[in-house]
Amino acid sequence: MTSAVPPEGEAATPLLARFSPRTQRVLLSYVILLAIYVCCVAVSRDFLTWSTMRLQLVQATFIGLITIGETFAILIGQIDLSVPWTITLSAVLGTNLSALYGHQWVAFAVVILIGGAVGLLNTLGVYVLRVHSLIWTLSVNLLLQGVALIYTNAVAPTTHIPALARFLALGSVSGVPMAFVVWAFFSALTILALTRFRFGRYIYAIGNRQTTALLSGVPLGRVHALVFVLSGLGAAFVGLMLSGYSSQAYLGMGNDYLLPPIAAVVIGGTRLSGGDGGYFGSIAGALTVVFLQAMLITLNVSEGSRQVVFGAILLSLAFLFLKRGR
Amino acid sequence: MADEEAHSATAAKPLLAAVGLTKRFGGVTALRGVDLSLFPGEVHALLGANGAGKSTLVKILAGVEQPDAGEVRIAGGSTYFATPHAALAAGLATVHQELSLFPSLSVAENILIGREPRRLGLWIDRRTMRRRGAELLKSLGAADIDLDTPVGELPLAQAQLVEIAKALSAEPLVLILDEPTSALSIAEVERLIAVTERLRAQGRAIIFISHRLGEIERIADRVSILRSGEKVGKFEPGAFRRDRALQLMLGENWQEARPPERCVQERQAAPSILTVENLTLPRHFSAVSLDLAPGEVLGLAGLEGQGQKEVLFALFGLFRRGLEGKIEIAGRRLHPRSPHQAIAAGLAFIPDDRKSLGGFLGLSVTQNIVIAALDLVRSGPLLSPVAESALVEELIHRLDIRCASADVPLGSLSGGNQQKVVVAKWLTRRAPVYIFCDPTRGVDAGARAGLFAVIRELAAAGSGVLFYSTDISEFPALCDRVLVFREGRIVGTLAGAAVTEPTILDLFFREPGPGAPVGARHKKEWGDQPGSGAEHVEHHE
Repeated sequence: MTSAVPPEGEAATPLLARFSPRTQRVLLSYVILLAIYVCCVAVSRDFLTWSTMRLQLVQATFIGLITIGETFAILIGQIDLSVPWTITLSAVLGTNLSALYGHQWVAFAVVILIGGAVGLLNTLGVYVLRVHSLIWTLSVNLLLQGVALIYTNAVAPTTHIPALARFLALGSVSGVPMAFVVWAFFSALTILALTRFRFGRYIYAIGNRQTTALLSGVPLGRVHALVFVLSGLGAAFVGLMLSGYSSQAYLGMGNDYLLPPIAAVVIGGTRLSGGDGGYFGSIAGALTVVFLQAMLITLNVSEGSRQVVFGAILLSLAFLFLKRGR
Repeated sequence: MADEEAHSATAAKPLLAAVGLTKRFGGVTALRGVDLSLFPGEVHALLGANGAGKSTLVKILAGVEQPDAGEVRIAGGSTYFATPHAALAAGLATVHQELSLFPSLSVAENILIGREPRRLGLWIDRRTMRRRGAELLKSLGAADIDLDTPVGELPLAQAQLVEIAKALSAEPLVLILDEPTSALSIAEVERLIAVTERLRAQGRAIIFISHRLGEIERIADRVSILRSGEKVGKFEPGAFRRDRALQLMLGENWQEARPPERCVQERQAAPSILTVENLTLPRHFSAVSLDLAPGEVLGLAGLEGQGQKEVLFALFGLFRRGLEGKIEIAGRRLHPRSPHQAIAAGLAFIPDDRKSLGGFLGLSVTQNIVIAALDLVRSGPLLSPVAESALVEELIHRLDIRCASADVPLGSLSGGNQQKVVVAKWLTRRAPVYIFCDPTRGVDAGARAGLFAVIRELAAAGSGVLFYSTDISEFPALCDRVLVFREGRIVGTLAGAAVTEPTILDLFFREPGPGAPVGARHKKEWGDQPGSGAEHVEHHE
């Protein structure tokens, strides 16, 4: 990937030594983003137009918002794989119930309830019962899938989407997509939380060495709960936005959001072993993943081959970053 | 050694002879030119303080570690053992302190594990296996142990006999028993001694390691004494003398141990800053009562594993369940269920192993120091970088921490400086009670002196300090009072000038009288210890 931009790579080499390894990884993730974007433009001039870019930014917002919780989770050495069906369940339930009660705020209440409940359930399994988060959160994902299937067997999904959800996904504020504004706001908050809040310090402490964190008085249970609840809330919120975006809520709408957010975190330079990384890199990661998907679609690659190529590229990126991490 | 040659000339040839064993770990010489010879039908005791090199010697003999110089001769051949398997094949079996049994497998399965009799080389011959297991247990006089019981359900003493039977299944010529009695009650120790005598009568050679001089007096034929990695003396059969042995273990001038130079602080009428009454944690310690005055340094001494460390862990909230008794800090009751709570109540805890417990090696010096004081450097919801760096710079200066900047990762600092950072973390808040849990392990002499100065400063500023160390010599140098632990109980209190190495050691080793209560520790099963703090800590790893 970097070979696409040899000038940057070569010019950066002597400079790189001045930065900490962590900064280097973040820089690298932006170099990769640039390289992917250059590739996109090479494939199609459309990527220079605002209408195409606008589409990509909205897509990146969905992944980026999920990536917030995933970055927290990976930083404390865990992972959250319950995202896809949290998205779907929140979208289906939120839109149906708000149509039923005739008030769009019901949808937001559902988002908070589902996100919070999923987060607490994950905390129960991962922190209290000490099941490996990979297993537990994936199982919770299955559980949510079951709940969604049972619900939709009884009640058909509605196409009556809350106006606010449509506005968040499709609206604009003086030309800037509303979705992007939302992402920018939460990104800033996340970066602030990780660098300047007590919560952020606790997260790095736990990810670095949980025993030491315990002995330093870090409230492990509370931090785990907050991380998983935030991750659940992010996914549930994205569910509502997605229903506004496609003007419907349907089963399986979250299925494409299992691995891309994790790929975004890894490309963003956060180490999967925890304790090292941050959200600034994850932003580049989310954009990279979206551009990569868009490029493969533009190239008219068939669905199957697209997945193969996407998977292969993610694997090599993951390899690149994990190797650098050691 | 000349007298050993004399011995070999008059009696049988040695079964095993270690010659000039030397082992270094990094810059530390753990073992320096140690000789040892073992004859058939003898019990050879190894004696030495913690860190004297006993475990290193045993590990080399067992093939776990390889010596940097020297060799082990067994049955005339000259070799050292590259792997534990090679040692076993050459006829040397070790029963380690930590049992290596599978709790869910039966006694018979455990005894013959890896050596199961087979039919046609395929499936396990259970009948032969049971017969062999029964024979081995019988040879130990332990025929009462049921062959089909899962080992996890046996009491510790019986599990230990199973472990010995397992070692004997390889028909070893030499058997090493590494502190086999440290966890046993008095009656159980009797049985183990009887077993050892039986093994000796069978013509095997036994290396017996124990801290209990009384046992060694009873069972050992010859005794070798290690100090600081060197063999400093030995006793021929019948020549063992307790006081001389202690002298050899501690160095020639131990009797001159000076009375503490600092004046013993008058215990003021001021109320205790920490009061503990009848603190009990089943299997770890029982009925521990202590009180700590402001400005006092109180030592908790004892051999490793006597419950003193667990008391400190319990105070800091690392045992969630099973803790009974009363803890008061500055007059307020504390039910410590987490370090978070304990810190809020006014405790600070400096742990023993800086790599695994004390610091975040991947985080910056600043992040390490302020982690326990984030509430002190906040302005509103945000952490203030200005307040942070002011706090950190002051501490770096005060403790003379050598680092390129406060932003470099802790892992890039030297060991002593890392330990200083861990201490600095707790100086950010003026805790009423400081717990130092073996803080000097792996720290050089200079850093240790600095640490002691810090501890005295803390005490002078009115904090109470609880101090535990595996190095006995640190208690007289630092403590106003010392409580000595054995088997989970306080067996003695020393104060002021009475705090000396010999007086502490005397309390360590004094045999409990016949009426003395048996320690609560290990009374039940050795297998699982639900809710124990140690487990808690390990789990978080």
